[in-house]
Amino acid sequence: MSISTSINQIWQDNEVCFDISKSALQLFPGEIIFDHFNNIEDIKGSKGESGTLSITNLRIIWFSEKNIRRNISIGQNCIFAVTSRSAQSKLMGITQSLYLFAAYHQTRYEFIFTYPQKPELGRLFITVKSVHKAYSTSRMYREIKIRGAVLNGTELDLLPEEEIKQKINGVCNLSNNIGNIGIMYITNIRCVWHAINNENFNVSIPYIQISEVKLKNTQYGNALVLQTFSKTGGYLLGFRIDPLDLLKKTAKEIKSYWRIANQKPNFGILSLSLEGKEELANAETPKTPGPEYTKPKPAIFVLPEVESQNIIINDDFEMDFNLKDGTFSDKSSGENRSKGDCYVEMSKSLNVNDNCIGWDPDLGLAIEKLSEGKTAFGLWKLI
Amino acid sequence: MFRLNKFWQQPLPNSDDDEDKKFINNFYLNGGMILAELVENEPLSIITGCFEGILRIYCPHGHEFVPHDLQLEKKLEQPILNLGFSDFLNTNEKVLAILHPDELCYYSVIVTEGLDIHGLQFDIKKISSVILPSKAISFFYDNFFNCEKALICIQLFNGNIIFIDGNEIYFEKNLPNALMYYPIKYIAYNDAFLINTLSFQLMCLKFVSVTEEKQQKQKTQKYVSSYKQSTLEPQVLWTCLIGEHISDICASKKYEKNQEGPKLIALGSTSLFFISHKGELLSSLKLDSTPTNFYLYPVYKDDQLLRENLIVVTASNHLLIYSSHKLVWTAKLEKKIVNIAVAKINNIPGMIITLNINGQVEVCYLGTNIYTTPIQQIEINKDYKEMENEMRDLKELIERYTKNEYEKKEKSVISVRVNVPTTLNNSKSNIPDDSISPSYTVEFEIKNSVNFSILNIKLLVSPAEPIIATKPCQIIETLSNGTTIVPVVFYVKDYIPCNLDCQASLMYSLPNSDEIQTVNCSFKFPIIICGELVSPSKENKYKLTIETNLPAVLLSDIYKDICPTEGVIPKYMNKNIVGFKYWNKMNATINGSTRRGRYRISSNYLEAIYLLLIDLKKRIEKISSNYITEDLVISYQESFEFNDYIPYFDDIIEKQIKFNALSDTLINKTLQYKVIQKKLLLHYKDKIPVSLVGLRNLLDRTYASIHTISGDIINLKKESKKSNYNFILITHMLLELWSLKDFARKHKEHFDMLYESFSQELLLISNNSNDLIYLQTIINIINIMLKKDKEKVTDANKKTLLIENLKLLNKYMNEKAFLFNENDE
Repeated sequence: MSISTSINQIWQDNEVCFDISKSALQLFPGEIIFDHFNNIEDIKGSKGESGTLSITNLRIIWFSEKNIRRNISIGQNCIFAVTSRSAQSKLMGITQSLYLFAAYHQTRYEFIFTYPQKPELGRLFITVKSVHKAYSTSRMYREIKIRGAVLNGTELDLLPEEEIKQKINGVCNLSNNIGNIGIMYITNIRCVWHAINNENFNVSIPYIQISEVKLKNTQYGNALVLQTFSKTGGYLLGFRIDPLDLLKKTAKEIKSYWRIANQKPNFGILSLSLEGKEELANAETPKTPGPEYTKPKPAIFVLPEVESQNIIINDDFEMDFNLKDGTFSDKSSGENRSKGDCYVEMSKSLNVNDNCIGWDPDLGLAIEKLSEGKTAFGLWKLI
Repeated sequence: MFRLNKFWQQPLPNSDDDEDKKFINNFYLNGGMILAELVENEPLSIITGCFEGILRIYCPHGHEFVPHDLQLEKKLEQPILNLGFSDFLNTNEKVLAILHPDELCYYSVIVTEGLDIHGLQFDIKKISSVILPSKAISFFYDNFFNCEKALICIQLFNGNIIFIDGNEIYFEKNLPNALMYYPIKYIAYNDAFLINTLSFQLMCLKFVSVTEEKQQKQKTQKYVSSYKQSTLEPQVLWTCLIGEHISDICASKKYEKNQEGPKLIALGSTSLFFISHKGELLSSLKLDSTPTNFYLYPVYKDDQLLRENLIVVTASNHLLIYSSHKLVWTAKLEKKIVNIAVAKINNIPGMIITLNINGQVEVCYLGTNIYTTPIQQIEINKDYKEMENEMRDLKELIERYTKNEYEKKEKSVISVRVNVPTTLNNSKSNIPDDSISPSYTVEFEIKNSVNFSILNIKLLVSPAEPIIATKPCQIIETLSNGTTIVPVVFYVKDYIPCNLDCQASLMYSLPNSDEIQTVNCSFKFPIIICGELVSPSKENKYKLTIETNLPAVLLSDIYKDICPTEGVIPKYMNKNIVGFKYWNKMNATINGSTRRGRYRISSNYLEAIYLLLIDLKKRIEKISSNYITEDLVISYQESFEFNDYIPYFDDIIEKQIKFNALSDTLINKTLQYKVIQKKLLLHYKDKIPVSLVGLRNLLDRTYASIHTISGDIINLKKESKKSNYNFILITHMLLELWSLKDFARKHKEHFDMLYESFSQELLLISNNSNDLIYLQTIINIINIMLKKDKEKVTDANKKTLLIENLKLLNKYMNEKAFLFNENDE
């Protein structure tokens, strides 16, 4: 089996998707559902329709109980605010609701979910908030970091549940003309290299971000090359290890950890239950960097409602503003999905590229480019 | 208000504590972020430091964060209070100065180029440090004392400021009249410092040597060294009273015409102040919200300084941009920010860089979209059926509750019983002057059924005017277990009452409880409160007869309880005729048939009939069970002359018109009075006095006429009140008579509605209240009853329309009376 073909970059936590296919709703390896809630109404998109909300370590999924094609997948990385407010629901009247604000592709979305039972809503709110918090404080598990503070003194600052599998001295980073000599750590989660003479020159690459591991003959001789996904920079990192045997052995080792990590990735948000949190609070454990985790629990369930439901045929597919384009592409491309206009918080989405930012001579500031003949001053006068 | 669009955003720094509980950055000192060109001719880097001691250097490469945007992240051992990047040590080399609470450290930044963009190496190396004598708050740096390299001035927690030159401490000084922390600014123009003092003053200080006077001549390194030896003392150049606490000061670099020194801008707690370099307050600008930060940035055009604009950030998260005192843009910020700067980022000039309270750096540009808070959708499609069900449920609930409440009242510890006597008081004492009747006493029997005493029980009685209680509120101080009798005296004022109902309520609270309990009761006064039985009179202009299915019942039986002398039936009653005299001397006669249960009430005054009519009706109802077994039927089969009714209505309208005319005249006269008064006052000031006798006479006469008109108005008001009561009596009588008609019985539902529509409020027409809606209801009901088309009621035609409709209804009633057996349809 060729590994490189079977490895897909996780998109679940980085995208906001609407009405995705059933296969895209399936959990990614290593994705764990922390909790799920039935009878949740999505006020903005499908008013009056009862659905299920699942909170996983990568995203928040809502799908209609009637029609699984009507669903939302909100990546944890896109969420920037979680609040609870009161909202008007068709099923329950005015109730307390969960508000999620997300940004994706320069568009801001607002999601409102309501829940019939108040105490349960508290649980829902706390779960969403704490999972999101755990996600945002465990980026080192999932993101490449260059020139970060990864060392504690001279030793690698280990993440919770991380173990150093191998420490190799004299690894030369080829990204520099000088060829910096440094130390490479191979752990169960990532590869870390840092220069000996400058510990601030370092790189930490979680296996889930590596798209390819290979040996390559470069102008500096045989080198280990780690290629990362283009979405996160697309770096090509070359390391020279002498002698050749050690290089081959290291490459093999990294490859196998990479394979394991891709089959069962550790996203850093293992499991947190409300009970666990309370226990921790009572125990007053000394503070350690990173979120505090309880022992990982087995995944609670794998979307039982989805599994038990018959495959949805397009017959009972209702036309809705939510589903207006009606096209459903398969999973990962993530391009042809419904735009989710009803959730958009702003009237117009912003497509930022450098061309649409201009400089206003009156204000002396950068401003979104206006159409010909209009000035910022004129716009201000309008208001 | 516009949006601020995000261009680039640092990922939220890791933090395992609750963000809202602590500040990651020094939010009131503008600290924690600087922009610096670390490598010459390279893009600007954003350097941030936070209380957690992490130094981060960013250089955005595009509009999305990529890992190589981070150039350096290093955890230092101490919290970072402030950052600086300048030539602190040598004149040619710029170093990074980091202020820790106890130490000032200098770092050199080492950059090694790489093959790839991620191969770029960054490192900072500590060069040296200066131990501070006290804990530091913040620092600022500039070429103080016209020095060639930058000096650092640190504010300490002991209130002093300390000047540091490279690795040496110059001197420490306590500034006069200064706060522990105060904004301090250096003006290069005259080598002076600006501080904010305790007394809300802006003070300009200059450090001068006490010993050496020839400083001005020297401007070299020697000069600086001379400072080290000599003692420098601050000298106040000027002070300017601002009256507000100043949080920041800046000096403008752009000089206008005829301007010798820089213009100073101070940020107060609510306003912006513009001050000249000599300390004169030039102008101020009031802001809507408390400003927190400001930033003055230059606007260049072809490398020429065009102007300087000011960004003000307020506590309400608004970003205001001022260009020469004028607000030119507003944008909404999403988070509270602690530091703001404007710079060229990613080759785009004029980008706004903010550091927010969570320690996150954002690069923004102005958006042209209007900032709107998300509006919640309002449900419009209502399910009316569901609503009705809900309404029914609610009604049921309310009913059940009120029932419970009623039961609760039954259990009330205090109960009240009313003894309504049938005779008036014999003694004529204690009657107020305005009474036309003898006094009448009602006894309230208040019973306490619990073992403890209840204090301060309030008894409130509210009879309808003109029946007056001498003491409408009485307080029973203590009531122990048992019964107490409280007499309340009533009397009648000038005219005939139209309502004999009286409400009474008891208010009390149980010991150790603040909750006020109430017991309500109502009773009706007997007819004798408004008059007495007398011998019948003969002048009877108006007559009306009511028929009953009773056998002939003698009036002596009906009225035996209210005979002038109790138990003794007067002689005239034997002839089945009796007179009734109201206290206002109006007479009426009641005549009974000796063969059938038919009674006639007659009087010279139409308004005198109503009370007798309802009283008689009540009495007949009461005694009917003694004579017949079947249901009692009382009917009125004559026709009522509606023309009798109209004068009463006209009377009111007339009086109202008169009243309006009088009040108009009064207003005019008052105006005239005021004008004359003003004129008189003006003329008194004249240099050549004119005879003012005519004017004075006019003033006197106007005054007198105002008096007369006021008197007239008061009298008219009294009269119209009387007319009003008469009108109410008549209307009620009309309604009462109608209710005895078959037509009304047939349309009972509508008629009841009509009856209810004639509320007290409506009938007091002179109140000029918003009665259109009531009248509209009445007219509509009549239209429905008479199966007429709906008429449009306006303010102009409402009264005529009402009268016409009533007249028509009356006609209908009368006609129907004749066509007794005819079907309505």
